[in-house]
Formats: sequence, structure tokens, C-alpha cells
Amino acid sequence: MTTTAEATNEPGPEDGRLPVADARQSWQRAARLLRPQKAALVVTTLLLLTGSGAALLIPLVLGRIVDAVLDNSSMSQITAYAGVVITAGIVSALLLRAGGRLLVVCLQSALAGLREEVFAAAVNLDQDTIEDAGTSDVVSRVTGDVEAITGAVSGVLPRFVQAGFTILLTIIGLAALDPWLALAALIAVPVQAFTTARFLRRSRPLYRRLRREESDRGQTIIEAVRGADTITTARAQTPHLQQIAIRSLTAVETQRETTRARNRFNAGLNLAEFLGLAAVLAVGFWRASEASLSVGAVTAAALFFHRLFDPISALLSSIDDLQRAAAGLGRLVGVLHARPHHQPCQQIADSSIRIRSLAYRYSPATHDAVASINLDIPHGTTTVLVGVSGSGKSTLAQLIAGTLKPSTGHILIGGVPATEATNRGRRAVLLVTQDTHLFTGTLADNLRLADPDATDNALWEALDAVGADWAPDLVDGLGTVLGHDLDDARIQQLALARVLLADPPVVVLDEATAHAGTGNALDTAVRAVIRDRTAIIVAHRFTQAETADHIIVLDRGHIHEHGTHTHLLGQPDSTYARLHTAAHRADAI
Amino acid sequence: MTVGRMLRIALLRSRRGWRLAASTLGLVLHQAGEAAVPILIGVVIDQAVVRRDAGALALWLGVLGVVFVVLSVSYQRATLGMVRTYGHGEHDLRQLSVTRVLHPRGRSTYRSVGEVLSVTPSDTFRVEGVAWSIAQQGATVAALLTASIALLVISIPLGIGVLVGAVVVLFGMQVLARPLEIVGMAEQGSVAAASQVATDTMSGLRIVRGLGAQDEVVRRYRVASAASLRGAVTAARKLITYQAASTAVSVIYLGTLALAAAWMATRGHITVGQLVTVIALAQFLQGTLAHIGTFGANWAHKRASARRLHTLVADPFALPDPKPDTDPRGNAVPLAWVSDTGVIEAIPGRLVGVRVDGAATARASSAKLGLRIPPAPGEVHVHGIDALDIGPDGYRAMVAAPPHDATIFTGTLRENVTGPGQPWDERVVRAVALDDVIEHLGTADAPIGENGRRLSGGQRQRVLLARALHAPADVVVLDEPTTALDPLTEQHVAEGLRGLERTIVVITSSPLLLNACHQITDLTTNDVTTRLHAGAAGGDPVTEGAR
Repeated sequence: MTTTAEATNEPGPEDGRLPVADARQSWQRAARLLRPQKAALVVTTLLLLTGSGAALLIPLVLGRIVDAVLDNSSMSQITAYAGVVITAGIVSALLLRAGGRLLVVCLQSALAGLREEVFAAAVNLDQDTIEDAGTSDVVSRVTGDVEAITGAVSGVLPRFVQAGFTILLTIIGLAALDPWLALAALIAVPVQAFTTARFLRRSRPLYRRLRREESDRGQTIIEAVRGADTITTARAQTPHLQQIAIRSLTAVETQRETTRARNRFNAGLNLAEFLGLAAVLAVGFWRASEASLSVGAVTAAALFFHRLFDPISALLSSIDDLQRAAAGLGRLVGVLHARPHHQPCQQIADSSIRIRSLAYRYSPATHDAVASINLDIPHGTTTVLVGVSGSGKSTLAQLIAGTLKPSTGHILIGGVPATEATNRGRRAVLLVTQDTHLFTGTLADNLRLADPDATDNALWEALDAVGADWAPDLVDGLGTVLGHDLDDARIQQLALARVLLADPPVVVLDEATAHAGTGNALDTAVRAVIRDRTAIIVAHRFTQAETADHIIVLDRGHIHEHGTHTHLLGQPDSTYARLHTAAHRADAI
Repeated sequence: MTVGRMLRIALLRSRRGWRLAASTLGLVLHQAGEAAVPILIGVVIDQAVVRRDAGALALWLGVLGVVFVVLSVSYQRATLGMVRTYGHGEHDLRQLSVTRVLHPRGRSTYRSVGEVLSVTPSDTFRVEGVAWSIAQQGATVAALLTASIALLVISIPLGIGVLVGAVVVLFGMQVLARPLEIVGMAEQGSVAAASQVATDTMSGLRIVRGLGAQDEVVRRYRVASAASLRGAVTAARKLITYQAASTAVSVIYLGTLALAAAWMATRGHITVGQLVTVIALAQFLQGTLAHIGTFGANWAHKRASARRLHTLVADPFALPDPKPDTDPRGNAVPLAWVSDTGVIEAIPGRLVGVRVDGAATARASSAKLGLRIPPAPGEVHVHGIDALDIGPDGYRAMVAAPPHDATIFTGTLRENVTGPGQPWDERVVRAVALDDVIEHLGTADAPIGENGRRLSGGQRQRVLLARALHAPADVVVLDEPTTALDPLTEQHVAEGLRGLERTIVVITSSPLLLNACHQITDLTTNDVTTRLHAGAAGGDPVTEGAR
């Protein structure tokens, strides 16, 4: 059964997907990864070849035993042959073990290098590229595809290589006994080729559909479990259970269809086995009577061919898995192709912000999200952005933070474009949004994202400054593994503590305190974070505006009003004044 | 309910038992056929090649053909039957566990989402795997028996020797496989470590980028990837070593058997053809035996899975059984909550505010009013009856109290707002300012992405608010429904809620929202302020003081 992540693997027809490398590019990359291990791979091949060769001695010597019995040879001769069978088997097992272990090490190390490279490329992709492609596409590549290839590399590939060697050597062995026997065995090949080609053609769309259906089912179950409270409160159990049931039964039906396809494939393989075995026996009969081939040789030939049943089905049925792994490789290498040009970095002169004729649109088809923005924000001041949903506050915040690139115009932080602004080797502008995410790991892991070298003392100071008074009560202190029962407000305190640790000259808070509600535990934290910094705050709460140095009211992407609190209040018909009146009256209750 | 019951559902429910038996029989027939192939090789050599008899060759190749037809057809029928048994069994277990998770009476033990999700898809999958184990064990035993019977026919001591040898080899394989399975689980975990870090990072990627911490997360990924590499290599090495050991054991078995049979042939106890049959069968058994070593250890894992599944399904309920015959009285207050400080009552057609001092109080209050945590007896009443007596289902039909952080489901905006079979209410849509969400998406029938990813926090909150107001209940309880809204939108929503003439209780600390309420109770002091006839934008509030 496939994992949920793997299920979204198939490259879809949707626009905006990340690129997928073609077979040639994938193989070039694979070859480059394996090049340093060339010597080890040669040794591996030799070990596997000699191992498979030693195993072939077994049926040959068993045939000799039959001949020895027919010739009334001595028992010591027969015992010696039996000894050779056992020795050949053990030597073969040891050689195959050594070869297999070496092969796994070579391939897994190369794969680890590849996945690390892909992951680094993925986290550095353009934000636009990721959002267009969908995070799930990126996630499925760095998880599902990586796992599919890991599985193939450890399991399928060594089996495939070994089966291939065994088949090749067996045909050579048969030819050595008698060329006609080898020819007889080859009768099976056209049947196998036809069956396999038909199976691959028919099964691929079926497997793709099955993976999609299983992923849909998994998705519905995950949502039902995550949303259990929501569902029970709304008494919506029945529709949700029905949806899971429908999806699950659909997947079962598709699984039956794939089984039927696989059955037809197996029937074809069985036919080939029968034809080949019957031909080997018939030709052996003919050669034994006409060309005085020994009974032992015919026995050995039949045993040879019988031994091939397992490796052949292993080889042919793993073709599909290997093709899927190859598709996964193409998608991994594709991420490397999407890698953006390395972003240049420039040291900022100070922490002032200068915006000139700035406009941004998310795609050419839409209208401007923000337009004709001109703004100067002095060093060390706090500016609050106010406006209704969709007025462009968040877009402007992200542009200042440098996570979006202006369509036209420019934003300079201390004289440097926002996307390149760096201070002492670190990003000059940090952005905290209302997206909360608790990273897996300890409290310290969550904080040291901002500054890997921070001391424990620095971490405690930052926690204290943001008012995380719950932290000292944790059983294992900074080493406590945080659970997902930590509420959003506390997760956000950690986000703000990270800003203190990173200590950037400019900070952008995009509704960063929205989760805390209005009885606000995060006010202290925000005050600590904006102190001695240039701060841009997208306000979700009116009171944040009152203490700001500068207020900007946005309306449909334009600056509608701006000024200080007192200045804007002085214009009674301003939007700001209207808001203030409403809020002020509310406060009086 | 017992662990055994999980297995009974997996194997026997809805006449699955018969199908499983038939499929097992099919696989048995298939394996018997596979075992017949080497026997027939010996017969052909004996009857045709040694005696140079062309008629015998034709006859026995014909028999070989029939055996192939039987083994191929029986395998196909069996796998098709197994997929059905397996698929439906897993389906039933999955539905059973999800039904329990979604049970209205809730759970008294806390289980994280991750814990439940590790049981629901993975353990149900493993428990149902028992069906495969049974069929495959049966087939392997059949192969062993066929081979032994054939050998017993050839020579009784040889047959007994083969059987005893097979048992010894089987036992040896089990011993070899046990450490492999025990350590294997830990290694599987470390292989998944890199994926976990990757998923975690990608879910928090905006934060990572906002922080410029890409280098640090790449460093962490490298550490996890190196651990995964070690895990994968160790696991693969163990498996390879196990395979090598089992090959060695079975080749010793093969060699000894061949030697014994050859000795008997030289003594004239068996024919040369029978010798070939013995050797071919030994070679066949070598392959079969190498496969079955891991059965025992797998069985232990499956029992553990069945136990976990059972624990989840048998979790005690949080809420008591409802009492029968609890008809609500029509004229009583639709919802009354006896809080620590006083009584809070819903007023028909009005917006009632409950002022709280923070998010934690709001969450706890709405959890009680939504019966997500059980209230004390007599604490919550609907139409004059104790909520616990009516039971969660009857209560929730009258009171809709969704959690503050309710889940957005994958689907369209409309599917997320309207309950099943509920029409789309334009008045509600306007009241909660959903218009601009629709404008943002283009249409109400546009998908809003996993967890509503295509929406901003404020937009998601308005979707949840619209959903709560679409609930077909007498009373709607809202828990801080405007925390992610900007002041202008919040003002609009507050006025909209007041104007809806629905029976609403809103738990909040937002002055803008409280200002729009017809009546406000402070949860800490129990001061009640009534402004029944005042518009949101004017009029002096009347404070009645504590009741």
C-alpha cells in the first residue's frame, strides 16, 4: 500500500507545478552522484556476478550426482559432490551478502546526498514558485518521492540486479550444457516480453488512479480526525463517515482492478514458464536420445530453468517499481532545476525604509494588489498599517520584508533593495505573520532557528522579555519537547522571542498577535520586539495604532490617509477618525 | 470487547470467513501445483528421458500443462478473493475507529491527533494483514505437505527426514528473523526521520523564510538525513545478512537431502527419476522455506496493532448516556448557563455578550457550552432541561457551539459554510462580510484549499462564523469570532450579528463586538448591561448591576 504523501507524486497537468526532469537529465544527475563511488561499484558488480555464478554450480553439481548414481560411482565421489553443492551455496551466499551490502551503502549514500541537495533547493525556492506549485507538491517530492526511491534502492534494485545476473548466467550455463537447451529456454522470452509490455501499459494508469484514491481517502480521514470536535459539534458525523466510506470502497474496487491486471500478467508468466520448461524437457529428451547428452545434464538443465521462475517474476514485476522510482528521481532533479539564481546580499547603511512608485500584482491577470505607494519610514520608528481585508496591508508588509519582489518601483532598506537587505550577514528585515507553526523538537530547537549559536542564557532572556512565564515551569526546561497542545498565543510568543534572538534592524509584524484575542498576553512581547527597531505593524487591533509614530490607512491598494494619531483624529471625516470613535465608544462599556 | 473481537471483525464479519477460507484453499491449490512441478520434472526424466519413451514424454508434458492451468487459475481466483476480503475488512476496521473518534459522547482520555492517526490508517492496515498471513501460512503448509507426501510415496524414511528437516529449518529461520524484526522497527522510524523534518519545515516554511533561517533548517535536515541513511543502511544490511544466512541454512538442507537420496539410489531403494524428483523438490522447498521465517515476528506486530486499535475503540465516553423522555418545555429559556458567578441566559432573537478576561476563559466556556468537556450536572440547561439529560445529540440539535479554532475542510467555500442540505442564506453572508471572500475567490463554489490555505486568517474566521450561523439550531454560541478581523470588518460583522435577529450568545473580550450586543454579562463580576433597544452606534447603555 502506498503512503499518502506518495500519492500526489504523479506530475499533473495543472499549471504552476515545479518542473520535472526528463530521463536524460535524471540519469546524468544519477551518474554524477555515483561517480565518486565508481571503484566500489565495480567491486560490487564483481561480487554479485561471482556470487550468482557460484549459485549456478548447485544445479550443475546436482546433475553430476544423478550421473554419478547412473554410472555407479563410489559413495565418496557422491559425498564430494554434495560437499561442493553446500560449499558453492555458502560461498555464493557470502559473496552476494558482501556485494549487496556494498551496493546498498553506495546507493544510499548517493541518495542521501541528492535528497539533501533537493531539500536545500526547496527551502530556497522563490516564494511565488512554491505558492504556485502548492506546498503539497514540494512536500510530496521531499518526502514521498525520496521514500519511494529509498525503498527501491534498498529493496527492488539489488533484487533486480541479482535476478538479472542470475538469468544471464543461467542462459550461459544452459548453453554450456548444450546450445539447443539454451535455445529451448529462450522460447519463453517473447511471451514474457509481450505480457510485461501489456501489463505496464495497462497497469500504470490504474496504479496512478489507485494512489490518488488512497490519498483522497487518507486526506478525508486526517481531516475527520483533526476536525473531530468541529464535526461532532455540527452533528455532521454521517456525511463525513459516508464520504470516507465512499472513497475507501472506491479504492478497494480499483485495487481489485489492479489485481485483475496483475493476474493477467501472472497468467502470461505462467504460460511462459510452462512453454520454456516443456521445451527444455522435450529438447533434453531429443538430445539425450540423438546426441547422447547425459541424463544428469538434462536434469541440470530442467533444474536450471526451474530455478529461474523466481528471479524472472522478481525481475519483471519490479520493472514497474523501478519506473516509479525513476519518475520520482525526475521530480527530485526537477526541484534542482527550479532553483532560483542565488540571491545577492548587500549590507544596509541604516534601518530607514524608502518606497518609491511601488506596485505589485500577484498574477498578470489580476489588478494591482498595491499601487503607487511612496513612503519614507525613518530609522527606529513604529509605523502601523490600517485598512479592511484586501486593502493590501499584508502585501505591502511582505514587500517590505522582501519575501515578495515589487512588480514595479522599489523598496530600499538602508539604501539596499529589500530582497537583498542584509545586516552583519543576516537578513535585515524579519517578518512575523499570524501563521503559527510549532517546529518539531524541543523549546531550544524552536528558538535556536533564529540564532543557532545562542546561549541558554540568551534563550531564557528572550523568553522572559516576551512574557513567556509558562516556560520556567516546563519539566525539562529548554530541553522540553513541546507538544501540539501549546496554544497559538504561546507559539506566537516563541516567534517573537526568535525575533529578539535574531536581533534584526527592521521587523514586520503582520497581524502577529491576532490569535491571542483581545485580552492580550502578547502586548508585552510586541513592545519588547519593536523597541529600538524600525517596526512595521499590520494592525488587527485599533489600540496598536494609538501609540505608533506613524499611521497609514490603506484602501484598495493605495495609501488613503497617513499621519500621526493626533493628526488623523484632527480630520473628523477621515476613515481613521470614524474607526477611532467606534472603538472609543466600545471601550467605554 | 477484546483484542479477539478486532480480529474477528477483520476476518469473519459479513461472511468474510467463507471468502477467506475459499481464497486460502485457492492459494493452497496453487502451492500444491507449484510443488507438483519439480515432481513432474522427475517423472519426465524417469519415464521419458531415462527410458527413451516419446509417448511418456507427450503424456507427462500434457499433465504438466494441466498442473500449470490449475496453479495459475487457482492463484488468480485466490488473489482476487483476498483483495476483496482484505479491502472490506480494512474498510470495516477503519470505519469502526473513525466512528468511535466522531462519537457524540466524546472520549474521557485525551489522545492527540497524531496518536489517533497512527492507529486509524496504520494499525487497521496491519490488523487486516492477518488475513494474508493466514492464507499464506496455509499455502506454505500445503506446499510442505504436498512435497512430503510425494517423498513419502517415494520412500518413507526420506519423507520423514524431509519433514523433520523442514521443521528444523523453519525453527532456525524464526530464531534468525526475531532480532531482525525487533531492531527493524526502530530503524524504520529513523528512515522516516528525514521525511518528518522535511514535512515540518515545509509546513512552517513561511516562518523559516521570514526569519531567514534556511541555512539552519538545511543543517537540521542534513542531521536527520544522515540518521536516515544510517537507519536505511543498517536495516538493509540486516535483511541482506538474514537472507544470506537463510540461503546458507537451506543449501545445507538441500545438499544433505541430495546426498541421502543419492545414497538410497545407489542402494537401489529409489529410481534415478525419483532421485531427480527429490532433488527438484528439495530445491523448491529451499525457496519456500526461505520465505516463511518472518511469519512469527509479523504475527506479534499484528497483535500489538490489534491491541492499540482495541484501546482506541474501547475508550470510555466523556458524557453520560442521555435519559429517555426528556421533552423540552416550549416556554423556558432556550439556553441557560449557571456559571461560577451567576446565570447567563440566551434571549430569543437577541445578541447576548459574555465578557471574558482572556482567550483561555473563552475556550473553556465555549467547550462547556459545546459539550466538548462535560459540564457539571445542572450547569447547562436548554429549554429548562439539563443538557446532560438530553444528551449530546439532542443538545447539539438545539445549540450550535463550534470551537474557536474549528476546522476548515477541503472543498468549496459553499460546502464549508452550509451544512448538509442547508440552503445558502444571503442575509448571513452579508452580515459576516463574506462578500469579499467570495469576490477574492471569484465564486462561492471555488475550492478553498487544504485547511483553507487560499484564504487569509480573517477570511477563514468569517467562513467559520458563516458556518456557525448556518447551523439549524435554536441558539448559536460563538467563541471569540472576530479575533483575526481588522477593526473596520469587525465593526461591520458586529453590526451584522446584531441585526440578524437570531438567538446568539457571543463569548468575547472585544469592545467593538460587545458594544453591538443587546445585553452583556461580565463573566468575572457578573455585572449585566442591557441595551435592548439601542442601536450599536448610539444610545447610552443601562447597567443593571449584579443580579
